[in-house]
Amino acid sequence: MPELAISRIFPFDTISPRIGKQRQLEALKSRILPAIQQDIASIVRDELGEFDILAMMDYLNQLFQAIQALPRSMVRSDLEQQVRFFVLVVRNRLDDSDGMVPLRQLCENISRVFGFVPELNADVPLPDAQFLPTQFATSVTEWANIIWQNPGRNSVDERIHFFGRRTSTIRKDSVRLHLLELDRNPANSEEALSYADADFYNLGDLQVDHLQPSDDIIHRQLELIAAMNIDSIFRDKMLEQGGGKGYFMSQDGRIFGSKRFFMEYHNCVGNLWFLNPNEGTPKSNQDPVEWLEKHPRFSERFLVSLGGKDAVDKRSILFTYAGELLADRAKNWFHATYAQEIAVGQFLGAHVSQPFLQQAAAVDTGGGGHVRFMARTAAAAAIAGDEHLGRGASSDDSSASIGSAAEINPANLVVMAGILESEREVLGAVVDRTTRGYKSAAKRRRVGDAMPAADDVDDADEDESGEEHGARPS
Amino acid sequence: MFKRPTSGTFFGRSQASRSRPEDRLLLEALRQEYTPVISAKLAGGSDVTPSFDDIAGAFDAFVEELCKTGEWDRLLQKYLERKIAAERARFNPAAGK
Repeated sequence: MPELAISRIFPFDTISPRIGKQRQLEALKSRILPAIQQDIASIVRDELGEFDILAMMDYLNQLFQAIQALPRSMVRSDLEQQVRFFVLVVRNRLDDSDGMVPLRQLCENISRVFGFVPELNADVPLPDAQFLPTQFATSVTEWANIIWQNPGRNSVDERIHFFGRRTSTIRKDSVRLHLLELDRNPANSEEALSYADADFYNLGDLQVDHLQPSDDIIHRQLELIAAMNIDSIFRDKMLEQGGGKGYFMSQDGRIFGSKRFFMEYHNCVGNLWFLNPNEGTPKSNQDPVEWLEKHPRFSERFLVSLGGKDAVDKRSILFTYAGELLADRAKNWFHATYAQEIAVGQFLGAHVSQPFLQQAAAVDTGGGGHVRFMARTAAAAAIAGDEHLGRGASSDDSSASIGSAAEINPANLVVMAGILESEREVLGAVVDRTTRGYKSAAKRRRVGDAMPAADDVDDADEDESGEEHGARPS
Repeated sequence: MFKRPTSGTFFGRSQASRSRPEDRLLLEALRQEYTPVISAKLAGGSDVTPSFDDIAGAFDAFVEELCKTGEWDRLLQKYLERKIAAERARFNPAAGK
């Protein structure tokens, strides 16, 4: 009976949280990785029945717990991936006998924590044909014959990007055209819905965002390819699933992903939506489920509607829920939950913002933000349900009133001062903190300066995050 | 040594990045309300009057902190809500009776 190589790697060394942590982790990785890879190869070669299943469960469990105890790091991430491969080859060789039930259960438990080797999605919807490049059919046929090994958005040779539809004068991303068709404001064709705040924004201000980040998608695609080259059972399954799609190429006995495979997932409209830029930029590469949970428009409510975080199915490259792509699910939920607000946004666009913007364009070059703010003020009054709307949107009188809503004048200053007064406690704390920070920084930098001695700089020149306030070198 | 305000008013850098009328209104209200407070805190109980640069620098730090923590937008939102309420009352005086 063959002995598992991972049986020789225990116990793990304790990793010091401070000095030389990275070096220790790398040393641990160089010891563990070859052992796991050796065992994976043995299982694939010799079949599972050759091994002592109870011993395998014991070692697999120890390995799982030991890796879980490691600090979050690239090393841990690499080891988790190897364990996913290990579990994959074991799971694919389990038979239905009762003796295998505990091992099957252990594999499930590990996968719940470390994840699954991703599989192909059943469906990867692309933009409607009318928005695709005119030579798209020819292009994808060519792409199916081009091997991509390390694609990325910043790669020179294997640059992943949105494909576009070219007209006689300009080229537009196909995905953007498709999303516009779905989420354009019917009352104002220059605006579309942002899924970050249930409001309509000018088209030029909206970002096309991947709910599941593109880097994560590429990473999962590469893991799928790697697993195909490890496990022949998995390879055959994926070749069958991807049959005729032109996603894979075989060369010298190895499987590679095609340019088509990567480009189609990147351009999948089921994972894309519009966000206004101040939401899209900080979102960056966050895990989509965590982002949804933290975002006030989705939060716990959305996850509860799914039945909890664990209800999100992460077995495919793109996350799904009940067979539906997660972003599509989120979009549908968003429309149902914020239907009233979205309708109000459409109303504002049609009857208030747009007329005001047009009117203001002639007289105000100070920026759309101001006009938008003013338009909202009057719009809210209009929504109160009186007949002034029609007149308000076009009359000179209304324009004058709107134009003064944020003007620096005694009346507005009184309103603003009232707000500052109601926030006195919060603002007082901020001014206290920042002035102390400023004094502290000034004191350190201006040796011998005549500035008055600080009475309270010793205890709080840094906040909890350790960030200093008020230090502003020129 | 520290950034000098650019135009004879405070908030040089903050002003550059925030030029909407509502931003300027809030800035002016804060300047009126909090310049004396900042000046007193910088003086720290002594008789020495803080320099213009120090008051401006501390004020800028104050404004930037408000922006960074989201308080700035929250204050503007409250202002907007108050103006909306006023507009509603003006256009629809029956509401709320």
